[in-house]
Amino acid sequence: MPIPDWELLDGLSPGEASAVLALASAARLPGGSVLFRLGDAAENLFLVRAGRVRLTFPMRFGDRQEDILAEERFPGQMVGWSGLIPPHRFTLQAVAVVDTELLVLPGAALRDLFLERPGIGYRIVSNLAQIVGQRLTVFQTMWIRELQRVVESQGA
Amino acid sequence: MQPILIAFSIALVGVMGTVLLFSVAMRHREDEEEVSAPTRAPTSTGQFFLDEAADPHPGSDLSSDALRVRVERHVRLEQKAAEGFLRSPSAESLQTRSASQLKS
Repeated sequence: MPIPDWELLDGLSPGEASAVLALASAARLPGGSVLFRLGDAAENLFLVRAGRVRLTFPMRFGDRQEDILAEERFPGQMVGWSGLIPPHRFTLQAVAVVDTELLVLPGAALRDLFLERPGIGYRIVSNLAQIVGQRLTVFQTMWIRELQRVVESQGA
Repeated sequence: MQPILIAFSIALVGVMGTVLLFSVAMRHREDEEEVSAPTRAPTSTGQFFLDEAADPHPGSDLSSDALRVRVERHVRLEQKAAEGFLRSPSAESLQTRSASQLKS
């Protein structure tokens, strides 16, 4: 199985990437199993090696609560940046859509590595800022589009 | 006589001032009511999907499962539209509607 280009490790030299990946452990999740729940302590972040992870939020439908899709993560992408960013709590639920392989990066070990090798820390935090920034802009745009729909539904 | 006239004048000015302040205050309140009157209160279910999700088609018997599918399709389409905005930002791409059936 080809190893994906990790978005989080973009720009690191092979030696630097190896130093990061040396902290990781492999995990397999059967399809349908929960990786983390909303509100859980975020001690790790995850790289999707194969399969697909679905991030959901709870929504009430009458007297039932359903998990609704927020976004999906694919091989090469990361899940759970809360493992690196305070307050270290997951704000969505993550579920493997199909049988999924992950690399698990412990947040604390990663932060220690950043202190030891600031060049790696700078590159990874820059990549993280780019990933978070893009997603923020996507959700901001979705929010603006929803407001536009609300305005139109009010007859404006 | 003169002190009485002075006291009367001061009292008259005081009353006029009070009336003036009262009328200004009432006019301000009326203005506020005029501004707020046409604004509809937000729906109790919120504004991000839920206002429509709660009752997308009054009178229809859309099941919860069908509604959930419709909401998720809406999320996917809106996310795609938002990513399009990211590639090429424009006012139009914020205002055009997707093919989502989750409409008011």
